Amino acid sequence: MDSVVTLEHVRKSFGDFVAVHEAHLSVGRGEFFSLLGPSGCGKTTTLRLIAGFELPDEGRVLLEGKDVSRVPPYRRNVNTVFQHYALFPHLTVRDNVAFGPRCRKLPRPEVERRVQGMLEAVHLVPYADRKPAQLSGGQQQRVALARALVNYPTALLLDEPLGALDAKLRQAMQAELKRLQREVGIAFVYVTHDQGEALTMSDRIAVMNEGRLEQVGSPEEVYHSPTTAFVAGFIGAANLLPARVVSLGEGRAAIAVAGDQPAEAAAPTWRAEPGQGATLMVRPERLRLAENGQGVSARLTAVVFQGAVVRCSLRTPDGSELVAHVGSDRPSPALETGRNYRLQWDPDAARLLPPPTQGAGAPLDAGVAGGSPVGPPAAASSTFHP
Amino acid sequence: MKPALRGQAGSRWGGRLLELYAGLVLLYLFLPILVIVLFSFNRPDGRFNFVWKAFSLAAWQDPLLYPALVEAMRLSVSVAAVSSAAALVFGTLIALALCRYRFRAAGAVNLFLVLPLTTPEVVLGSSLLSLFLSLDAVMGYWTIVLAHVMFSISYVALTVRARIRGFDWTLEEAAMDLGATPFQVVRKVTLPLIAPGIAAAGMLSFALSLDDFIITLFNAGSRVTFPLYVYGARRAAFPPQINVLSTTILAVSLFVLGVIVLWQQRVHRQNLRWIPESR
Repeated sequence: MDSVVTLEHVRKSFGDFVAVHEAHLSVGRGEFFSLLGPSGCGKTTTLRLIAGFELPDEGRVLLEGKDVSRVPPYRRNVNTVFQHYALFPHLTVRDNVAFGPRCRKLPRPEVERRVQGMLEAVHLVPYADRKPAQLSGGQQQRVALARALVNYPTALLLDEPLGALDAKLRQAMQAELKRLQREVGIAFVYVTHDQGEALTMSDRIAVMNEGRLEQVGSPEEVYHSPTTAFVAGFIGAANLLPARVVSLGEGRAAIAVAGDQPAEAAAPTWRAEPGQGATLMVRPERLRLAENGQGVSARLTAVVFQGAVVRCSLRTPDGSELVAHVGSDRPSPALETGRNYRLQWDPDAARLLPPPTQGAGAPLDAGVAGGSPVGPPAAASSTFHP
Repeated sequence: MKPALRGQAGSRWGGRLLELYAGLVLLYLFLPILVIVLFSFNRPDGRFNFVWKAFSLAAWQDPLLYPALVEAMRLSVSVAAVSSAAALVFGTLIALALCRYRFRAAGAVNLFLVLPLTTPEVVLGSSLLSLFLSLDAVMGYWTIVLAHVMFSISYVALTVRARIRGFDWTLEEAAMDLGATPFQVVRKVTLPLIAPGIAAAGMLSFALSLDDFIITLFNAGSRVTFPLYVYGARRAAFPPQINVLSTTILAVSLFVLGVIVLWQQRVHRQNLRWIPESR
């Protein structure tokens, strides 16, 4: 079992507020793992549970297979990069980086060797004798990274580390972080509310909402095959329409949508019966507009030119609103508001999600149950079996 | 432009008046201190150093001439040191508790902290005296120290609390995250960062203890501190050595105060500027 961080059915509440329900996940060696969700979804609490700043009410936290649920932070071999870095203002850059090794009473030459190596890795040697106050935001960020990585942690925990930087610097630091992570080969557990950041950097993403893990998977999986409406809506833009399963075939499902119009979607990854309600999810860029032929009929209500794409707002006969992104260089068909068009899609691009009543409350089993905690779940369907 | 110019011209007299007024207030504040310093260089006629006669360095050359005065000074410094040390420990812990944790008694603790500052000293002194008497305590060194610790704790707690209000507690988490035990966290992070506040509080409580008169008078028994000696001296003899020792205290206080202020400014700048730019 090559899992460095494992949460087993962890639950944490503060008074009446349950911050984390049933968190169950594992992070593999050298993996870049993101906890993604809106603010207040429990992602920072999850990180603090791993760091040891919070103790779980139920469940276990394991580091390299050892139960550390009751071990204080200073005896856990994980290190944190804090949101505002929390650099020690009274210490120089070098002393900040040396703080961990010195606390652990490593021999002096070893401390110096490690600190020097780390300062070189993050290009901070010329600034080694400055105080944090004399550094720019990006430099402070690198000190925080060096100070954590110098301890060779089992996993590095990062709490929205790029949140305080401006957009341009953030992009540069994303690349830098990814490079550093590959170089040191240490697992990163990365908390962010920025879906773009999570998609760009992660090997796997855990999407959280209201203290629950909604889905765990690779960026491609959570984007193309979201298992809940929340994930579909939170990562990228998504059209979500109420639908009814008509029949199930080989990899395909015939459905009725938007006022009982027939359409096709990928077979659901959960147990669905013909006649059952579901939610249809199609990304705006996967919708095509046609003047006639097959497809769901909808009226074009607005057209907005956005550069690379034209954003088309449509309304189906039953009143559902849809958005389609059409390449702006494609002239046909002519886009005229008020006209009816046919909406077409590749059945593989249309996912059926369980209706909200079934999705909520079902315990989500992310990654561990499949036997291999590191790799993606064998099939998304395993997500819904206890 | 014009009204502004006229305003400036008109305010010239107002400005002069304001300067004069401010000068008079400062004079009023500092005249007693000036007199004390000045009269330490006096060669008085007889036992009382109240009338200027002639300039002399005699008292400065022999400041420890009167054993009773030296003994009073020694007692005052000793009481101030011991009571400040005790008040620093307790007061700092109270301040840390009030800043760090939300607890049910916090409001009550806040009230109790302000009480010794607002209660008349006569009340504090006399109630302490009755307490000590009912306990059959021997009045003397330790009753003075206890009394001083009592009011100094308030000053220390309030001063330290004011200084550590903006302290970033995630620094303690960061230290713990890097492997520092709770003891190492306090020694390597918390104390170095709040030390200027503690130093200022120590200075304040030392000065308060050194010059306390009323509460000490009630609880000193037969012991005589420096302020009690000076008060008693007005009847028997008031040598310029009193002025010399007072001036020395003043000089030392000003020096220490200056050092602490400079140090605080440095630490404060560090604390303010390390927060990452968020644009």
